[in-house]
Amino acid sequence: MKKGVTPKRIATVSGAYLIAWIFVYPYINMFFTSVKTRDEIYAIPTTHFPKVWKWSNYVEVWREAPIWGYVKTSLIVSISATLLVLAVSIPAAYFVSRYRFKFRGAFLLLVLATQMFSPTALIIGIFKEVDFFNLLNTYLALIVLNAGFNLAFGIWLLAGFFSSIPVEIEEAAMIDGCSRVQALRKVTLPIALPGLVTAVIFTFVSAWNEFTIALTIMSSVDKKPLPVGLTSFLGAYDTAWEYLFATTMIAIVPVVILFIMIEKYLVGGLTAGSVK
Amino acid sequence: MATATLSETKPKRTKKLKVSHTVSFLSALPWIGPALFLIILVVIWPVIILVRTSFTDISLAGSLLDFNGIQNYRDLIGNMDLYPVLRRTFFWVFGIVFFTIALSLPLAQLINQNFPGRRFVRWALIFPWAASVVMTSMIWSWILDAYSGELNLTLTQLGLITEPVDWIGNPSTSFLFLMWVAIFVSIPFTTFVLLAGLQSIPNDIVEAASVDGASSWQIYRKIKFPLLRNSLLIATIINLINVFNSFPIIWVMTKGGPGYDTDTTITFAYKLAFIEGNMGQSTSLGVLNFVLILIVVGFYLKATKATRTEV
Amino acid sequence: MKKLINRSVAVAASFALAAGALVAAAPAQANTVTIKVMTPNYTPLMPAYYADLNKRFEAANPGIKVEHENLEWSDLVVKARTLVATKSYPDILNHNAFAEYAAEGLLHKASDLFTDKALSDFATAFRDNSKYNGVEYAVPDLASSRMFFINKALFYGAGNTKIPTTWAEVTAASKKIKAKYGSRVYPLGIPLGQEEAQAEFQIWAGGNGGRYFDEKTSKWVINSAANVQTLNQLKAWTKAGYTQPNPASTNRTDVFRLFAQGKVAMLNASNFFPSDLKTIYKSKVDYGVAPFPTAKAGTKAITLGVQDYYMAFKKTGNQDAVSKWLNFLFEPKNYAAFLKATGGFIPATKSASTEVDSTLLPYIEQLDNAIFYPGTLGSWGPVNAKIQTQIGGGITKDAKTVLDAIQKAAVAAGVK
Repeated sequence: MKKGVTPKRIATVSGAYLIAWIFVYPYINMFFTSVKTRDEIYAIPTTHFPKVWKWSNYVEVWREAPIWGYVKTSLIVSISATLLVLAVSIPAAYFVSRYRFKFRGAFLLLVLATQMFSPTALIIGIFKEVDFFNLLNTYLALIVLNAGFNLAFGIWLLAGFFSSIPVEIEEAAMIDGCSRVQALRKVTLPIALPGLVTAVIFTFVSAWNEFTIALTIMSSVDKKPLPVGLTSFLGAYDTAWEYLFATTMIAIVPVVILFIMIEKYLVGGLTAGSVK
Repeated sequence: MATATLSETKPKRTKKLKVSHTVSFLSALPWIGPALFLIILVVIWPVIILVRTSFTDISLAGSLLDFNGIQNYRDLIGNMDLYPVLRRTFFWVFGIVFFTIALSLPLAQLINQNFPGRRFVRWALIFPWAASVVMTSMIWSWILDAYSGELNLTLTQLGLITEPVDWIGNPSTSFLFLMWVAIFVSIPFTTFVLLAGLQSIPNDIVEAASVDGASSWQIYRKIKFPLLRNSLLIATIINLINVFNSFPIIWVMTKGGPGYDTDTTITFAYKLAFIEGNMGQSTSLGVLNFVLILIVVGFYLKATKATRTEV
Repeated sequence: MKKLINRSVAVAASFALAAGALVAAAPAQANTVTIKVMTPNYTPLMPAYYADLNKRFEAANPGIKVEHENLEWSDLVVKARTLVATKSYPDILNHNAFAEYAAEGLLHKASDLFTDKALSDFATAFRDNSKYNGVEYAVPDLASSRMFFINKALFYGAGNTKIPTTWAEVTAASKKIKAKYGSRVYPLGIPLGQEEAQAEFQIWAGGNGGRYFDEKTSKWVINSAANVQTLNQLKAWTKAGYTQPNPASTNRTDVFRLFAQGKVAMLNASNFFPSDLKTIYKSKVDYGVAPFPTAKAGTKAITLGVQDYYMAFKKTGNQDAVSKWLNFLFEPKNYAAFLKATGGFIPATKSASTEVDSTLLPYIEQLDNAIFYPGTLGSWGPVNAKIQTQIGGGITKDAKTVLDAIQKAAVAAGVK
């Protein structure tokens, strides 16, 4: 790219800033709403900025709803589901990328097909099954279900990744006396780190955001994850928008920070996963 | 997409990566077994229940009665409300995927360039991805709210409107806004996939073309775009599936209303089951939904394969 | 890698085991009964109310554990359907419909849960609405009736002198209000969004003699001439610009908010609206209430009565526990707290009615002229849902066509 300051370049850069603003704007609006008073929220006409900055909304929400419980559930479920996806998809993706075997095509088709079913369409079946195992209202059920519905993407991403790593590297390690499993662990997985990070992020975010399954199978107030817990601010006759958005900010900020921290890996991971 | 990408590269890989050997299914089992088990447990089991329910007579309160063949499917086909919903779903899926890709391509190109603050632009793009779709839909309905929303406030202050416009309430505008929110939440992922694709293009090719006097548009069209094919394929398929299955945006913002005027087949199926208590038609629509997405993805794969000659 | 495999196998094995263990463990708990209670979040005060109630209940009944789930209304509707469809019934459900469950024989009879004396304390009209085929299968928890609200400043400020009693007078008043305030005020708030469309339509249609169901002939009459005429009238007001835009997408809370901000001059609202205006919207609007206008002069004004229900599902060994919990809830002190938490509803019991806030009295009087939904029909639930999602469409589409479609669905659902 040319470095000089040309009109075209200025236009490009300001365009980029404008786009950045469009994508952040709703969350800025959310933030301003979250520090408004109830009167201002219902005022017509509304205002761009709060007249009174009611920071105490961020304190009050913890009293109004068991937010710790929501956060705890969301963390336990998202982290465990992510680990489970890794534990299950790494071996599968590795094997599929390194070996031909009978039913390999069928297995991959099955993986592809699972990606096409949304939990929303299957909710009755999911509920019946969880009930059958007597696991309603348990973290375990939520973890396993989240892992199951995100497995396809993990396998697909990692398989693309492993295929892009030349088998010679592993073979060299094996000549040096490593077993195949050791070679995978010591050589291939470190190279595949960006892919692993990407898989982790996808699973984590998707589990962190999951709504329908959690709504259906969880019933204890303190065991609900954040997106479901949020709905307690929606009353029949009024909605506590300021609390709703304050809680939402609390839920979004850590994930955004997490994303920003690993952004570099993210691009790297998608690169190797998508190009062979 | 796994099948597609993997099998396409088979010949290449056997040369380059020496896929070791063909082994028996049994020796594959320790490696793929857990994944297989999880898929069967979590996805296939409910699918079987869905399919079985779709062939069953279901009482008003929802209890399963007897097997009744294809009656639910007949009822569904006879339900005249289905057809506008199908048409709208078509519009929804292709409109959103098209605009998402069309906007993400230049955007990926943009954030692949060096400019001051590029990092912040990339971070900004991350927001809708990291925030849950439920929450993003809620904030958009708040912004678009006729009386409390910032859009109307701004338009009023600019003198463009004199009284509040109910963007989400009016079926002729609400569906477009729903689509905008869907595009808004799809762009970040798509852009990053395409950005990753751009970054994998070797610099020397681009530089060589540049030395040869190619314009940046020519470089993009002749060199970069063809090399983006794989990323584009992946981004498109994932978007097709996600957008087709998209539920929270519509449910949070309009619940598919007024009437069924903003429903897609996914929200329509949900409404049939859980609002109207029509489990039979809902489950048969669930099966139909799967068939539809299978056809769409199948066609797409076929079409891209057919044109796949020069790469 | 071996570790990874081992771990994944271990994980898989552990949930298989855990599942098995739980299946085996479940029926083993003999002396404690756990009851699942599911209720709607009438107001954000409900979670605290139930937490306290259940704590005291469990302390007084050591053998019973309560698993309580308090849900936002639309989630409750969805979850109730899921539970019933999967035969995983709650023990106690607080909902706006009971007959579809009674029709399938899923509910305890009220007489199996309450003594005659306790039952006789429930208001007779509400008891009658809790019967399926003549047998009580639910008890009322609270009720509401509606009146016509006006914003005094806007209404009289536009030169009106008398609160409308007929549709023609509504039109005339709207015309004056619109002439005076232009687009700053909507003369008439009409929420036909899916949240409460069935109520909004019924209260207007009721003043024209329109009903959803004819008790005498036992037939659905959703597309009756009176109803078509009503929907066309609502459409005419919308077309004339007298209502807020897009009635079909406007929910009750939206027009409440507009009224509270002085943007709507007239609307239909329930007895809890005054308390909402004060506590939720912190509104300073000076309002007046009157009986609901009718289609023509000389017709008796009606109101819409709505009641919700407590019902208990039949499950082996739960009768004693659910009976105890329900009776505990209706103990005068606990029930008074319930009414307080729900905010401004009409009590369902005679004993509680003697102590109501005087502001509620006009609404209670109105109940004598109340139309109720045909809630004793097993098919009311799904028909109601159809009305809620579809009837608003009549504002933009042909009213007769829309009502015909709902009628067709209702006839298909039956009159059981």
